[in-house]
Amino acid sequence: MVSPILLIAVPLALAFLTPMVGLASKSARRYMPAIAMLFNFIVAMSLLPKALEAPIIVRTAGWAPPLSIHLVAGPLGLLLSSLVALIGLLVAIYGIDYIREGARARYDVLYTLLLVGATGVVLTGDLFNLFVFFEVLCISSYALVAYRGDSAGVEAGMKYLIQGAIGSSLVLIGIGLLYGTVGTLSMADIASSVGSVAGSRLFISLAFMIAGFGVEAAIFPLNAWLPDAHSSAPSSISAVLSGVAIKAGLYAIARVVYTVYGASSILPFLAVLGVVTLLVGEMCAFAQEDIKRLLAFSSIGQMGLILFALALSSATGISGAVFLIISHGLAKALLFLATGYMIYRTGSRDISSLAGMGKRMPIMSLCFTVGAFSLMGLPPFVGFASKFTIVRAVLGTGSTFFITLLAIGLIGTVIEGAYFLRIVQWLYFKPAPEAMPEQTEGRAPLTALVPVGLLAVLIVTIGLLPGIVGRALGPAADDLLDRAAYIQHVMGD
Amino acid sequence: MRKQISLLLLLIVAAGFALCLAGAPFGAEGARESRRLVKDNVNYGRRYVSKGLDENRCANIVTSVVLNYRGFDTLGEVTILFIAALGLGAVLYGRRAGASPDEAQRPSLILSTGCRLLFPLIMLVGIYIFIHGHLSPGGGFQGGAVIASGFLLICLGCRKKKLNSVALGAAESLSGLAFVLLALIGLAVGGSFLLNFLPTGKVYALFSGGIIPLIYIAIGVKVGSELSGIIDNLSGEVR
Amino acid sequence: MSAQGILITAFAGAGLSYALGLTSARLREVFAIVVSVLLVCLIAITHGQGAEHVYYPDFLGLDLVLRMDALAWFFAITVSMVGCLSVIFSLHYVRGKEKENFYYFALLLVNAAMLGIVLSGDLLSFFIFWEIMSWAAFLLISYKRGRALDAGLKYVIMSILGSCAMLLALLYLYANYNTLVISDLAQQIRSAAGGFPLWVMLAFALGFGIKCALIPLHTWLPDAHSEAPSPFSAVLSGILIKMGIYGFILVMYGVVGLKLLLEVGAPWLHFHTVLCWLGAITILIPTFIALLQDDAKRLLAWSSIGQIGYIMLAIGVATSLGLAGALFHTLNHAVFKALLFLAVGAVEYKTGGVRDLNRLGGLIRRMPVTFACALIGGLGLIGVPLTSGFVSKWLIYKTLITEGHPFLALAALVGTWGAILYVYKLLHNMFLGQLPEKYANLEAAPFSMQLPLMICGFIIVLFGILPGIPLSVIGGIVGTLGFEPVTATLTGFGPQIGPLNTLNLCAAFAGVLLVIVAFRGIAARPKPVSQDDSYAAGAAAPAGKYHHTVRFYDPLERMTGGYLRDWVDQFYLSAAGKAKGVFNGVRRIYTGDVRTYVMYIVALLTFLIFAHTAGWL
Repeated sequence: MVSPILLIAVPLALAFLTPMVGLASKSARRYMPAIAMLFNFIVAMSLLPKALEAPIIVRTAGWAPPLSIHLVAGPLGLLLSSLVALIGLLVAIYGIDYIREGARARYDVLYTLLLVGATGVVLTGDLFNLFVFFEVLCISSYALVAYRGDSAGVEAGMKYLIQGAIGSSLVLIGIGLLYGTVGTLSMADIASSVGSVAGSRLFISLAFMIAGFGVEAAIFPLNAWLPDAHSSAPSSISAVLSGVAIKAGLYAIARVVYTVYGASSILPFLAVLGVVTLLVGEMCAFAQEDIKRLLAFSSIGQMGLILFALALSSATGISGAVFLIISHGLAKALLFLATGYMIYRTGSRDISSLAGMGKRMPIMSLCFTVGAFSLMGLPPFVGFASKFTIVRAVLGTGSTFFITLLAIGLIGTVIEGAYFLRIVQWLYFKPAPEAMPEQTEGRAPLTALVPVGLLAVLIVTIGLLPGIVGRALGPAADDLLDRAAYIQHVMGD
Repeated sequence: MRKQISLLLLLIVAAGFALCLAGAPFGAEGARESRRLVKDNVNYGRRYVSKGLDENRCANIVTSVVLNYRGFDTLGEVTILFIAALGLGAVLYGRRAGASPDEAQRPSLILSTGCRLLFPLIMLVGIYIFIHGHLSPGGGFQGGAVIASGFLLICLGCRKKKLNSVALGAAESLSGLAFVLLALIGLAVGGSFLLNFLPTGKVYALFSGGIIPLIYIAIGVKVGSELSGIIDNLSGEVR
Repeated sequence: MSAQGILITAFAGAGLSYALGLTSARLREVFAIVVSVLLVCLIAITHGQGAEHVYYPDFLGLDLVLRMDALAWFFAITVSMVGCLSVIFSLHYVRGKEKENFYYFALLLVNAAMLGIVLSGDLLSFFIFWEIMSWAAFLLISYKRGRALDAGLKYVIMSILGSCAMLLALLYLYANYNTLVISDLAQQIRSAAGGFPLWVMLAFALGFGIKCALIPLHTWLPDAHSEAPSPFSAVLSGILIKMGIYGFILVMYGVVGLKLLLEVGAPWLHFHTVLCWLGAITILIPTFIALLQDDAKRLLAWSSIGQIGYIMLAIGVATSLGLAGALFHTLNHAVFKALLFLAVGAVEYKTGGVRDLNRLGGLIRRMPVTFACALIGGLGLIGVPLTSGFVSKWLIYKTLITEGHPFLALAALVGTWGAILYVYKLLHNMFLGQLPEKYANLEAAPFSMQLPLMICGFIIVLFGILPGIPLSVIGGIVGTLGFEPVTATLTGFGPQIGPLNTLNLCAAFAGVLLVIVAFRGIAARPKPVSQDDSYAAGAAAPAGKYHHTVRFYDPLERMTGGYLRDWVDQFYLSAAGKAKGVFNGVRRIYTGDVRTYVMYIVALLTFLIFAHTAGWL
């Protein structure tokens, strides 16, 4: 039986090894991230069935949980780490030929480490360890945003760094305050002892953590770094940032709010924040002319919806949120990846430069359309299944407050439909300009078509057969909701 | 306007912070509270202090916590430093400043000789600090920083000297790899990552603490080479 | 053949036609027609079957059900028939244009999705197929580029809005009854009380109303119908908007049920009464707007809205005759509106895209078959006796009068007068009058375009003379929806409903025909004279255009034009413009100054702390 800690240790070792491989063969080095993520995907998928029954608790240094750092590979953690590995794998394959400039050697290492960070965040059972992996994730994403070294990238990276660093400090302060109050860092242990501590001391540490993790999770109004960062980064990086990284921030918030604090009083506020994030994101995306900025704002909107669903505090709501995390991850990764080569082809990020792309890059355009339809929540794509689950959960609560919020939030969906379908029209129903500088190196190689195609196939397949992931969603929701079971699994009886 | 708003915001945050700290154990009330915290199963810090010596045979309790109880965090922290160095390299890639006028100026003989004289001594101190990390204050991070300062001295004092970035990178990678592999051997041998699988020896001896000194050596090399790499990158000479 | 088999055939047909198109265009065309005809046959042989079965157990925890009953069969046969005709018509229409593969795929997909809608036995599959239909239709509306892009966006935005409302409604039902299977819902909802059914109905009405272009939700339709490719306009107008009608019937009578429906709403204002009046408004205003249109397809589009008004009016009356009239009119409108759009499409095809009524004329000599069919279609639209439109309108009038709704009846009547005017304008300006010289050598439309026209024309006349054929089906449907079944004889109705016998009409028609023939025989044969004699009073006939048909109904336009602007559309457009302004304002949150951003972070933290100390959280 393999240990879930290999999901962190092996890619980490491979990342350290990558520069050495690079000394031997430069072309072999490019495959290292893909190998690491392939390993992770296989391991995570093989562990998932077992974790669905009961979380796998992993000790480090041989000590029983509260004493030392431990991983809790529960249904939610393993589901998300499978998603991280899957998206990571596909984007890594895409990156083999896509990244042509800059310090290639560093790209491969940073990319792997970013995914290690995300995997660590979702698997760890220790609050400070969560912070450490969160930093691994964040710092590698700062570096990757600025990777190209052009002025836009460096500026975006710098802004991201400043806001992210402030967010991280807030998290650290929050953890410090909490540790000072309860004297332990194991999340299960904290959860079992927060009940005995006065409310306001706890709440303030929670406030620090929400504000801190919220920066990475792109919650309004903490998300100002995102449009710049996601649009300035190379497309493969945008894909993992949007598909994986921001989800890790949201996972951290959910874990802290539900498991660590069991703070149900803040949930309505988070729901409102979610809907505001959704609306602001979609509104800002609407008038964008820069395709990558548009996708970035659309990510903000989707994060808002996920946050809203997470705040429902019902099993269906959280299943819907996790489902949307999966479907948005797949679709947004697909969109960024497809956009990457379109931008290479035209040399411009303007939406109007996509005119006639349906003829020039048919497969990319088709996949882009599939991704866009899925994001809008149109059947038979996976986005529909996830949005449907969320709406069902909201109406299942029967609370007028949530239903009103949902009705407001659905306006965001309409806006989203408007701008995505406009792009689809640009792709297919606008004639390509006659004298277009054809950049031959923009032709998408097989390493780009395969991941993009696979993502599209996944979107359709899971959309038609939502049962594939549906089985894991229920346990994943319980993983968050059922504090008592979590504590009992980790701490023993 | 912006200033006033910022001030107001900060005041509220400060008030909240104060509210949170107001409950911390202090004075007579605090003493009662802290007596409750004396028990080991409530306060893990206290437990580490009381049991750490027996469990790891590592004279420096801080090291014991850093590399054993919370060694997984340390792995992450080393990685963070690694990422920071790499990230800097990636951003600076292709931004090589041209030869600045200062560079033409040769360092004086006294300066360059002094630097060369000091360099081995600094190395020695650094290595001492991380090899004795489990016995005395200090450790891999501190030792690595001292070593990097030696390279910094060379960079500043002897302008002609260039650091061998390939060797630095190799040291960085191999030491990181060594850390992970040591931890994985624990997993293979005893079923637990980072398990202290070596005999722990006698307390206060140089060869004690099991894998802790080995990990600290790896960290020392890694931190030293990473920080040197950062210096190398910033000096803008070598790719 | 089960409903499942029909759907598999339909969807697989759509996919395969794309795949085949990659190899050979001819193969794809043949295949598309074979699939369409096959679908008609498959559905036809399922007549009279009633079945319900789960085809996809446990989709997100819900069972997806297909069912076949009288109502579903009726709509399915209409859908497949009009779909089939439009595919046949498309053969020449799109040949040589770009993206033919995509065109056939999308057209077949829309048809398949519509079949899915009507065969769905639960509201979730209904919704899924509904959405597929919506986006596939969006792609087809955008097909012709140019202004079609805006039309497509307008359509799809409204459509998404409607879908959101529907989604809320159906999940509201689910939250209360824990099932979405229509037959189960119908059982359980009987005990519902209070505002619950009203909210559900209102949300559904928003969704369906947008799709079937009920005023004031109609604004997408004139643009979309006129900009879409003509065969697809026929589908849009003929059957796609009828999905909204189907939805209304399904939810009002199939789910909520007649008994509960009559109580929905305030005691002094019932839901179905509002629907009636909306229907009446939807008859009146669009009919007069249609009069003023110069674009043939736009005229027909507005006319479609008007006819939807009739159907809604008849549904809202909630009587057995009304529902029968609504269903029959749905079928009739599908046939004659498809015919008219296809006829316009044929003209458009031959004249190179001209649909402007001011620039056409005299085509009767070049395209006689098209004219004859269009004439039958136009007469059907007006509701002239011996066409099927007459019988359905007769039913609607009859029920309005017997139920005592004088104003509604008047609205329906005025709508018919308007229809006479615009049908005359359409037919005259296209086919009668002087033939512009550039069309002097126009050839008749190819047979693949004439065939659908002739089939439609035949159906109109057949059902006009023998209304008993469709009414036997419709009567049964009415019976299954909780009304008294409507019994009809082959040629009309018995005395219990009201005396109508098309045989008598035929006899009268034959008699009049006889008189005319006899009169022509007896009277002196008219003497042919040269044109110079009659037209120009002896002067030489002008060489250029002398028969002007521009500004038809000009006085009427001057009188009513000021009132008949599409206020609703303007309102929506200005709202959309305002919304864009707001969106741009929202973008300014992101100033680009990182100090502001940091302040946002601290502000949120501050708010949380403040809200906590204030006791809000």
